Amino acid sequence: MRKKQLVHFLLFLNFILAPGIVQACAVCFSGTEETLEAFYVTTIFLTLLPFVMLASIGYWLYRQYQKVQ
Amino acid sequence: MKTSSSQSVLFATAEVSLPSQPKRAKSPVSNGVVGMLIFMVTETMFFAALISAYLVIRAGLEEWPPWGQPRLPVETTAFNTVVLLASGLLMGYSRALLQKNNIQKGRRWLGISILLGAFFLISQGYEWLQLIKFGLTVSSSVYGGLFYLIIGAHGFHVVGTLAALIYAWNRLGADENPVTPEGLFPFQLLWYFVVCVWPILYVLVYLT
Repeated sequence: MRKKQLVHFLLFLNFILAPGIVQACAVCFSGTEETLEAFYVTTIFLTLLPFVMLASIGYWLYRQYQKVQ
Repeated sequence: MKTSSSQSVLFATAEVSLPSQPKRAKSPVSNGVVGMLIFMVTETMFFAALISAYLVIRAGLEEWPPWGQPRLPVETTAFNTVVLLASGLLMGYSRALLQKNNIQKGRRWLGISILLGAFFLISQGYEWLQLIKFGLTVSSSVYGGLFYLIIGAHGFHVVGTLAALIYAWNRLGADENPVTPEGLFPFQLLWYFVVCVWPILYVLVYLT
């Protein structure tokens, strides 16, 4: 049991003390300002887009039903 | 044909019970249109994700397009864009004719719209062959990979929508199981979507 805990602890230390390994992150290929800006813009775009689309469709459907009544 | 007494009772019951059922009000928007709108939301998110990936990868590279990669045929694709937009406009015109119950004329313009869409597809395919000859492949660079992924995804949508439209065109005004103008509308919506997405992709991938 102790041996297993020691292995886990060493693995944990490895991830903290060896940041080179942690850089295997799929989106950490570039740390430039442009990339950061692109991340912000696309995150906002992808977050808001579904809400805008669903709200537009919902409003359009509401208007269609209002016209009939 | 003789009917037994029990069958007569059943028929009588059915005749009596039918008028008492409440009449369902006709929905102003068909289920097909609602279904297609939901599908279009998912498709929009799919293209938005591709565009986002393109923008992020592009922002991380100093030189775009990368050195040594062939340039994209901007003028030919501009002409193709005009053809696709014309196809979308003609689809709208055919929709207007079909709504006025002018089936034959509407069907003819729908066919012309489909032909323009097919021309766009063939022309894009020819362009791809030329680009592959010049060395732009999926594995040649991240530029090539993104180009074929984004433009290919759109081309795949064009193929699928054209196939559905050709089927609908064939069944429009047929003697048995005809496709009605209302039944055709969801496919026309999908074509509008495919047409509207293209200029965005063209500006992003070819012009900037």
